[in-house]
Amino acid sequence: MVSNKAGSAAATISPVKRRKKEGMWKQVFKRLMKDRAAMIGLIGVAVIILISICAPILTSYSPEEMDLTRLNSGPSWEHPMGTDALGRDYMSRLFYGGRYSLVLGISSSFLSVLIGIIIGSIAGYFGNWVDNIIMRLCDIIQAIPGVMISIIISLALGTGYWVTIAALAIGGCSHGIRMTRAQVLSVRKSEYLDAARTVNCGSIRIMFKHILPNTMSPMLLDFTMRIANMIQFSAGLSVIGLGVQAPTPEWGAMLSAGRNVIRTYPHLVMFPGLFIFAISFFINLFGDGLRDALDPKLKK
Amino acid sequence: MSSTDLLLSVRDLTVEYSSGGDVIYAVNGVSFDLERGKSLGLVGETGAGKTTVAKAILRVLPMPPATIKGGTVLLDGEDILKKPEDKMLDVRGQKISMIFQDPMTALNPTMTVGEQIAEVVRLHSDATKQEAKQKAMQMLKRVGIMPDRYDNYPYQFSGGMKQRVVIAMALVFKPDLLLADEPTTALDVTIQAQILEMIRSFKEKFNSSMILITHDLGIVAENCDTVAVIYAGQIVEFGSREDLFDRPSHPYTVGLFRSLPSYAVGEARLHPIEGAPPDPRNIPSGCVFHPRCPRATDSCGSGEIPNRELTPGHFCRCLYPEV
Amino acid sequence: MSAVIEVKDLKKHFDVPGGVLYAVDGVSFKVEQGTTIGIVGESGCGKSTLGRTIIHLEESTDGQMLFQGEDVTRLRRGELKKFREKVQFIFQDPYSSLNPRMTIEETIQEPLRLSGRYSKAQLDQAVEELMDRTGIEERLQRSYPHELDGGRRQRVCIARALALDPDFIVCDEPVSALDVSIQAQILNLLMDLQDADKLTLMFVTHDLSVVRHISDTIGVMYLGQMVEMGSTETLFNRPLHPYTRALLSAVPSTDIHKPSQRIVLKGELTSPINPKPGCRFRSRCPYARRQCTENQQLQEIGEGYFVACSRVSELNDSE
Repeated sequence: MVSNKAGSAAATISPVKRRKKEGMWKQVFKRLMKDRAAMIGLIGVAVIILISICAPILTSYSPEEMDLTRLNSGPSWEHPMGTDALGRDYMSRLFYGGRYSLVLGISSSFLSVLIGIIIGSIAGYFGNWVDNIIMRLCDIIQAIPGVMISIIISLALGTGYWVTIAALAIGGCSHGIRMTRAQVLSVRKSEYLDAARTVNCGSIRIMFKHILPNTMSPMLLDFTMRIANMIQFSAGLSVIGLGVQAPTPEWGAMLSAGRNVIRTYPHLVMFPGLFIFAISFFINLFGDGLRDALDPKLKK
Repeated sequence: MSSTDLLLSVRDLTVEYSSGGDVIYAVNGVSFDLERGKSLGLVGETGAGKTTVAKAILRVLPMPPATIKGGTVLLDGEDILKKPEDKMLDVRGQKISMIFQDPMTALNPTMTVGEQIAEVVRLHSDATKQEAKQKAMQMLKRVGIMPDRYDNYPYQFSGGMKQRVVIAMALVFKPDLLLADEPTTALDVTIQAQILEMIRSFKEKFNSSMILITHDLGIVAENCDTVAVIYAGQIVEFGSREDLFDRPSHPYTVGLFRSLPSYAVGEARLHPIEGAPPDPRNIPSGCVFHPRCPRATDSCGSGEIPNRELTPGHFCRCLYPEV
Repeated sequence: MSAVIEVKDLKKHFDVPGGVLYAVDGVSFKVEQGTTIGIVGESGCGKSTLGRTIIHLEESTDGQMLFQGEDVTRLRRGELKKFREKVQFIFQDPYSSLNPRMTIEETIQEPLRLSGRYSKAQLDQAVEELMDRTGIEERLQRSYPHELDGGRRQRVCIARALALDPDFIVCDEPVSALDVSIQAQILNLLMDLQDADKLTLMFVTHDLSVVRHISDTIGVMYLGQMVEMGSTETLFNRPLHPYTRALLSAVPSTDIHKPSQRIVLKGELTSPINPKPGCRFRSRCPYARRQCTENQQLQEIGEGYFVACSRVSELNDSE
């Protein structure tokens, strides 16, 4: 068997070291570690998550415990962030509230992106009438104000924590669908898909093994950036009486509950606002870093 | 050679790029001369630094990430590397023009071709809009495009015709120096012949000098008076057309010729150069070509390799040139 | 009949806004086993489409294809699977034809895996063997395409194409995207593999010097049609069709002492969409006459040598 070593390039000077499977993700991770802003963002998010998890250790009150002698009191030694209209310790409500808000933000964002990936891939891959129908449905969803969608869903499923998550996910999915579809369409032109067909790759495998991994980056980014959006949006829902209901301590709900008395008891709005601001800020910092790390043109 | 014949004199040009913490040594001490009215073929493979040299001369390198670390570029005796940017605006498009490689992306898709040429006219002269339009139509005709296509957009043209528009833009002001970066690589071979013929005739008419950047030795043979072979950012061989094609001496040049299919007519196998070009982050010490060179010895791996003049005007940067 | 591939009046048309694009319009040829046929032409001539149609990346509009004597013009799923194990394709751009998220190992393994005939251990061994045969260093197994240079990437593409031990490989401009010094390495590799495995190759390219070296026969295409076809040496030494002559004369020569007699064609390529009847080269041909408004047929001029020009005898007798 003739083995052509003529071009074996043994004389090359730039050695590519044999290594364990260093995925794209590992390289992305390494780049992220070098980005100081991204790391600050990540640490900020981690701190907030930790606070929520360790809420029982950090506060001595339960979020339901009412002290009727101290309604709407401002910050003090016993209640560092004051109390709310029912005398509950605000700090503990905010700390426990982190759990609800973060889970709400993460799961609605995740669901939204998931719907986007599945439906967007189908639209982009199959094209023709399938694509057409899906795009028109997207147009419809986008044309309806998010609030209306939530109202419609609430009429069907009632209000509450999980319904809110569903409403947020469905209301925001059209963006993800379009984005995934655009990604799939651009990847579809790639020659390596043709190459996969020539080695007898079936459609399903092409979708999962060849197309999807190459469309993931923007979706990952979208997922990250949306989390803050979802939390803010749920605050808006609370204003109209939808969304998370009392007594669930969720930052958005707490923020809007205090909006009528903002002049007299500003702390009711300020503290949840601060937390929402903090999570948005840190996530965005991290998200920016993630976007840079994922950009192949900035590759070494 | 009297000093008035010498249009361009480049000495020790060195350009680096910084990328993600690494330094890319794109151009490492390039020197050459170019007489008025003559053309120089700058031959090399991908990553050798040829485009960087051209862009450095025209001062259109993105700085950062690029930095010109050293060297002089004398145009008519004046060092244009030291010229302030606002004075460079007079040089570009008038004294020096560049034709880029890919005609598909060199033109603005949202402007008509006529407007793009007219824009060049207006930028470098006091012409009114009408005058500029007239001049643009004249240029279109000169490059073989019907003037009534003034209002067409680039997408309505084929690759060859787009390249003609690019040439029209480059030659409006009859530049002293034309930099042509792989002007026909993206074109079919029959169109290539037309385009090169056109560039040649313009050059002769205006007595312009030209630096023709290419990897195609055939194009160099037919279009260039002098040839510089560039490898890993250095000129490894320089000489007249006859010097390079009849008596190539640097092992890289020789290797390039030998790896051409036309060299191996009648033989079963081709004769490639072993290995691959070096990573520009990691240029070999000593002679840049020594890891791939069949004639290399230990002394090739370190120290400064002298640039020897083998015969008048024929230079070779090698300890063991093939003679 | 030792012809591996036989194509009869093959047509591939596309519906485009503006009409019908006759990408491949009635092409016929035979390729003998163990030989290489070079298909040359400039952009828009249909050579790439021809290659893709043969491997069923596109479905032909009309005409017939025979592989080892069997009709493979239309294939069902199971037959297509078997067909692709015998007929393979190498793409032009070695970067875009490799999935950037798969390692070299995974890419080369994929065809083997999909065939369902290999165990895990056999897979590993097969990959090692293929990498060895195509000159890829073993330590690069877990690398990604972007870590390799063009030449190595193309070797990976070749290894992938060889994985299922095909008989016939269509190579679509396999070295055009590579540097000159690397081109020679890859061409040598292809020729060595052809000798060792008795492969039959179809080499599609626009580069005339490359195709001269590697092909036994050459077919010249212009706007979807074959205008000249025959043995390589005959074609290069004495091209007969006006287009072939212009094409060959357009290639710049490295011989500085031989003045080139360039035939410069006037005008641009006409459109392959709704072409006018008659010879498609007519508008640019220096020898066009009235009879050229009739459709030209490929005629056998010499043994195994074909030209599609009704004026060919009178034009060449006068020389």
